[in-house]
Amino acid sequence: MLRLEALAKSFGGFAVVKGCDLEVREGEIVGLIGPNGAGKTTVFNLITSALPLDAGRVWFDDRDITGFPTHRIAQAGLVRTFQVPRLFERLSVIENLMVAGPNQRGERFWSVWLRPGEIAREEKRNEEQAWETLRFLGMERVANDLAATLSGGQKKLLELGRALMARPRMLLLDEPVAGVAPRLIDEIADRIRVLRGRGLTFLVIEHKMDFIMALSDRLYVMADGRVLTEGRPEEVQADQRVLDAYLGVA
Amino acid sequence: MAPYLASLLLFGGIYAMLALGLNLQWGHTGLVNLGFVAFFALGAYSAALLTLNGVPLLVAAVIAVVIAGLVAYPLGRLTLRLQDDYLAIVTFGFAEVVRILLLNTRWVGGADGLTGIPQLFGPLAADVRPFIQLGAVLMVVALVLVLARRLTESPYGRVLRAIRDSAEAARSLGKETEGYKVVALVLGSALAGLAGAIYAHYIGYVSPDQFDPSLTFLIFTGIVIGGSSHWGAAVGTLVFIAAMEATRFLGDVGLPISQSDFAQLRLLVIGLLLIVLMQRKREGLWPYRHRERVRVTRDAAA
Ligand SMILES: Nc1ncnc2c1ncn2[C@@H]1O[C@H](COP(=O)(O)OP(=O)(O)O)[C@@H](O)[C@H]1O
Ligand SMILES: [Mg+2]
Repeated sequence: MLRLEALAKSFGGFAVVKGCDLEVREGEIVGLIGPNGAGKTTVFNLITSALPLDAGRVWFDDRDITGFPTHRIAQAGLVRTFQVPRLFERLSVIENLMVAGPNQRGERFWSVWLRPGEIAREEKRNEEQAWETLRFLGMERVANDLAATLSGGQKKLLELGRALMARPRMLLLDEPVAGVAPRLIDEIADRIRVLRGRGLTFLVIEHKMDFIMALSDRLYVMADGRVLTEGRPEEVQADQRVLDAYLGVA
Repeated sequence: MAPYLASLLLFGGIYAMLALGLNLQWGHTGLVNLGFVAFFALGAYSAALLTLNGVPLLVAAVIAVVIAGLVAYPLGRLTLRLQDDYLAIVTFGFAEVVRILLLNTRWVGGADGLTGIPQLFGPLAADVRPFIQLGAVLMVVALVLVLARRLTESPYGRVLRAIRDSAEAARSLGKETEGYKVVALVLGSALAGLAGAIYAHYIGYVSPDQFDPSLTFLIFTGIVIGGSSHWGAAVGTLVFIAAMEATRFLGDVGLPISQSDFAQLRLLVIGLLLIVLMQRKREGLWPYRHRERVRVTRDAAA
């Protein structure tokens, strides 16, 4: 479903991603791990054109989306979250969700003036969907709070929910449980599995080893801008190079 | 007295309109237009020049609005794709260019400006005219307020505020942020143009010193004080400008300090008041409030 071919990126002559190849098949949950600074987040930035890439190709659904504008990639069904949540802090929680609804008529300038009735109906459906998502996340009680007031863990959850509201077919999650309270972590893993059951595909960056090992069907290990190895969780865990990569940095 | 009051209110309407325009750009979309006053000037000068050359007043006003908006368009297209600071820098420079051009261009009157601009409702008798003018201007302001609210309360406005808070997140959710920003910039600037046209046809003359760059900062400060709700922005701006005007001449009434000391003291006090306000009410006195949403559950309905 997603295929990366030899992605490369350097910042001011310093190569951060040095030829990253990776593939995620439809319906899979794939982990992307590696020590800090390995280039994982940068790979997400390259996939979504948040940063221009130096070389390589990005395929989504057998379509070459290399260098597509960020919003077009999201519209194609590939949606990311951020390592440090980027919520709409001065919007309420539920508005954060509603704004993410895809392809809204009410977001087109002329429709605002010409089709008020249709927009009102659409908003109703959108709000219904948002409440549904809040329930899924267990966040109904904070629906009208400003996003800025949420705890770190809630922010992570809301980012996940917001990405879901965009009705993606594949999600790129950047450390979805970093800073999340332990009892919430299992819940997030659970939600992700439920979503996969509904047909979503995942590529997940995470440092919490027990979380990502339990969740992933397969894992890629990145170190120093390259894919070190790939395999099922138990294979990766047994790989001496992976241990070395982590120890080499620690 | 009554005509004087009418005139004060009318100026209030003009400033309120300016506040609504900048609030759409900055308060809702996060665009820092440091050259806002230039669009006010463009509206005023366009309307003045057109009517002085025989164009009917209403037509001239419409054209002035369109000109102010059209000029904003390329500035937005050039800068909004880049980092946010570019817009601030470019608009600031643009306003300087406009000011210097107005000062030095003979056919727009140079430093003397233009006089004899036809009055709004000029044919009416002088004793009723101020009130008719006021009524008309307040109606226009009310209309602008209604339209602005319609836009900002719509899903469109929600995208604008999302962009303000994080353009990158908005893009990552499939919003084409650049287009939204350009529209907000153009609409806000067109509003400034409308305010300018009204202004020109009310006081009857325009000159470069009426469009001092400090006006932009007065309005920014007014929005900071009032908050980004439409009322908050308008009231905050009016109160702040009124306070500035009221205290400007305090130095003349024989305080035991020099004029320049007084001027500095005044700024110091204003600065301190702003800091206190920001500590207490970071979002201003009347921040924008989202509608509370209450779930109507199916089970509850059943
Ligand atoms: N925009 C940027 N400009 C310069 N250097 C960057 C930028 N983004 C990331 N880097 C650098 O690239 C390296 C990899 O970063 P990142 O992709 O965030 O790693 P990871 O997510 O694996 O921890 C780090 O050394 C980081 O400092
Ligand atoms: Mg990272």
